Amino acid sequence: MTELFTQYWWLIFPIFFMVMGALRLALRNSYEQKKLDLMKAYLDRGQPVPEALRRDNRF
Amino acid sequence: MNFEQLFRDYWWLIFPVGGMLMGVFGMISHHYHRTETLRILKSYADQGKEPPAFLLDALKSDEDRALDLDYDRGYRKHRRRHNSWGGVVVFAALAVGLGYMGQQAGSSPVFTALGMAFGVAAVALFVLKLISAVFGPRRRYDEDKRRDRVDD
Repeated sequence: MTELFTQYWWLIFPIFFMVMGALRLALRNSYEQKKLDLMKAYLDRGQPVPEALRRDNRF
Repeated sequence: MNFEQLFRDYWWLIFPVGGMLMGVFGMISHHYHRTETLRILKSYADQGKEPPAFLLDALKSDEDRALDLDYDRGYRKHRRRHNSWGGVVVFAALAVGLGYMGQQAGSSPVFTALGMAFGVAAVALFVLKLISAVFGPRRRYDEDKRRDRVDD
């Protein structure tokens, strides 16, 4: 086990960044979903959507 | 190889891994903050009330913060706003410290190599800062008051 670690410890970095990319996608998806919900709530009431929501709130 | 030997060889991994964990934590708490703001806005919208301006502002400044932290590399130009000389100082200090360690008798050549690497990084950073200080955009007089920046 330690033998394996000494040979492949650098794999920590690429694997971590892949996991982080997936997590970022998931969080972004959930945020955009909620933002769309909120926009829909405004539109359902016939109110204008606030400017701050129209912008692309990037990560 | 026992655990102590493993720790002796790889103790420095604590720092990159710790930094990565902090990055993940920051991302999650950033997400939580934004989502909570949306939730509060939603409750205002459901009641048909006008949301307070600062809540909408929170979303906007969040976006700015995201740009400033360079979550998306396409927005690199936004970093210029926060150009400070701190990075140069830190890199130069690391170069001096590691170089000194490398000069000690019986020390590992890794220290010298790291010192040289940090030295090169410090010099390169210094030159870049100098260029952006001379040719870069000037600070606007009302920059602190502008919260809604989309144009520049």
